[in-house]
Amino acid sequence: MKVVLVGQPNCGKSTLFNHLAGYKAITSNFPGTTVKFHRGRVRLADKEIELIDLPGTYSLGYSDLAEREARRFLLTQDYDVIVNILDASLLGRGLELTLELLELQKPLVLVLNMMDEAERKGIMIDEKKLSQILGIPVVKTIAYKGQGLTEVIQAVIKAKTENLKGNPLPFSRDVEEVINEVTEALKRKGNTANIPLRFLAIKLLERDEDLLKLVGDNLEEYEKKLETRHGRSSDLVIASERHALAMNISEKVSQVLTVPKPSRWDKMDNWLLHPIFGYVFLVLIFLGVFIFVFEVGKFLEEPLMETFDKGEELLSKSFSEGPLKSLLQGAYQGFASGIGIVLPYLFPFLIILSLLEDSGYLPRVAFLVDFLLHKMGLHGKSALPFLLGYGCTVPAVMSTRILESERDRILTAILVTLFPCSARMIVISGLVAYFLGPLYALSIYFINLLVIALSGAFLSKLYPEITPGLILEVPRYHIPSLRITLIKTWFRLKEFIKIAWPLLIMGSAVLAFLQHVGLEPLLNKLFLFITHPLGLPRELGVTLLLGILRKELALLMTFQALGTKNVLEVMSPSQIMTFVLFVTFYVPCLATLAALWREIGLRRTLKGVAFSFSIAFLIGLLARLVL
Amino acid sequence: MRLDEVEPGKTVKVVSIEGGRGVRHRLLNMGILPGEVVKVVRSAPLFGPLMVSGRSGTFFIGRGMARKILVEEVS
Repeated sequence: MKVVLVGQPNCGKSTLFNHLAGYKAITSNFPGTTVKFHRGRVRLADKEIELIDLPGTYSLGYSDLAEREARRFLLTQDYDVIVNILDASLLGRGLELTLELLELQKPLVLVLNMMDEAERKGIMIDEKKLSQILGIPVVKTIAYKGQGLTEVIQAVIKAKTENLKGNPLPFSRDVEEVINEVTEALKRKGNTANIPLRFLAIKLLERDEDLLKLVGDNLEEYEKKLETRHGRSSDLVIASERHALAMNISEKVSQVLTVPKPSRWDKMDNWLLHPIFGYVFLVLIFLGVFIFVFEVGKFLEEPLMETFDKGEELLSKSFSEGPLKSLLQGAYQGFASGIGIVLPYLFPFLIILSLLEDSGYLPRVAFLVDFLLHKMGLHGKSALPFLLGYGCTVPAVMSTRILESERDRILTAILVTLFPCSARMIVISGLVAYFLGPLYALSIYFINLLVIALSGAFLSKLYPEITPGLILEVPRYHIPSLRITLIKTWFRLKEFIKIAWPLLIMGSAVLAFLQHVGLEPLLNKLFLFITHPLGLPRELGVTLLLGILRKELALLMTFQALGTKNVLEVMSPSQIMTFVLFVTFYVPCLATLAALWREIGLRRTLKGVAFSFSIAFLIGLLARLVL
Repeated sequence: MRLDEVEPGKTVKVVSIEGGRGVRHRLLNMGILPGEVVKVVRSAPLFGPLMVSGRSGTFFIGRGMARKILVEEVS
């Protein structure tokens, strides 16, 4: 049995999915965390259920790619039951989507999630009455606590076996008349791609571009009819009808017992979004995160590396010189630096990232920096992909799907690759923070932001177009749960352990072998066009090549290539800064290239690569001259 | 009056929304449509966005977008 989870952004859909299917989808307290489908399986009482978690969508019309994808799935794919999840504390708004889903005429279950939040706001919901009105099972849950999930599964099975498709609710009479006329017209026409006619008719009256194209018909006469009767455009007529209907149902089935007091958290915004202090906190949080990571990382790295160095001595004593020894030594160094250098920085960083994501603070950054992003021809919403970019560029590039305009999406995707992801953070930590001090490392982050701002301004001159502007829901603050934080961190750490670490071990072994047989200088020669003008040791050439596979490799291979772990012996501070700045900006890693290709196409990806490479080269040259 | 001219703390009623369907669509989804009452909670400095709260939740709305929303005072 195939079950799709549908809901508005931030209603706890992915949390519910993870509880049922095991942790597979990253959840966060901001919209756009899920921009593609996640699939999972639950086995219950001999029944195997396939769960599909769709991107959050406010309605079955769409404003962005993530929403469009969710709708396309619902209209074209085969599935048995829809589970519609809504935030019970925003019942009226959530029901607007439910009303649309009813039109699809598929077995449907409504889940009222976040019941604890609704109760805190003093909202009591009569789910039996709601179930009667809609004609479908309604279940109350608190997904993050796992409450009510068995009932959800039972309701799904019930909806499927009893074929509970619910009752599409009628709009006012004159609107219904026009809808019926359009339905009749569609019937005569045929060719409606198996989309339920009434749903199609309503969407066409809402002037849905995709569907108008699909039907290829002019429905202006019907639109006009609604417009003259109501004195406003037909899409607005339908939206208002649906809104009123949803609010009406919400009032019928819920009661507000107490007037909600502004919670302590709401008051936090008085500080965090303050015209002056808001920015002070933003800078402090930003600095705090990185200083914490650099300090904790260094504290952990030193004893770990000492231990591994002892192991290396042992290894070097027990084998005689030869290709085998080089290979083994290389592999060992790759293995050791994975634990000794990468994890000490990556682990604390991922924990903090997860805490920030779940707290609800990040969307507020969009509010604070909106005016700055306008100077780059974008708007506040781009801040979300940018902030995600500090973690990993791949999901950050994908999250650009939450942007409404194509141009904003392309610019943001290209700029996002310039943000130092956690892998680059490791290069910055391991070389700059470790050898030169945290202040130097922070200065790299500062220079990085400056360069991105200038690049953004430059790119938006190339692609001048007015950005539609920010509309973003403000999530509630939320104390992140320890369990979810750890699971999420582990989920991301696994990425490193499974993919990057083996690459690291192999890369290190191969490089040691190349050094042994004397092929390395040849490779380095290929990169002289970079290393020479930037005044870097030519041995670093090969690290740049490996850095394209994974950015962490650039750091670890540096030790291998230079033949020492004390980089200061062979590189001056200015050379270290030049190298790290270059690595921060140059060509994104392979996984990012693939993601970019998918999101913005090959040609733009290549342009983006050329762009980032030129920036890296320019900044490298500048650093060499200035520092 | 336009939404971007409303002082923070004031509650207003939406009269109409200018601009094409694309602009309107997201606002409609967020419950900002003619007849609805919304409160401007705060605004960011330097022509930054507004924080607006209504029956359908709390939203950040960019200044340019807010200019397209015509509102009237409610007593």
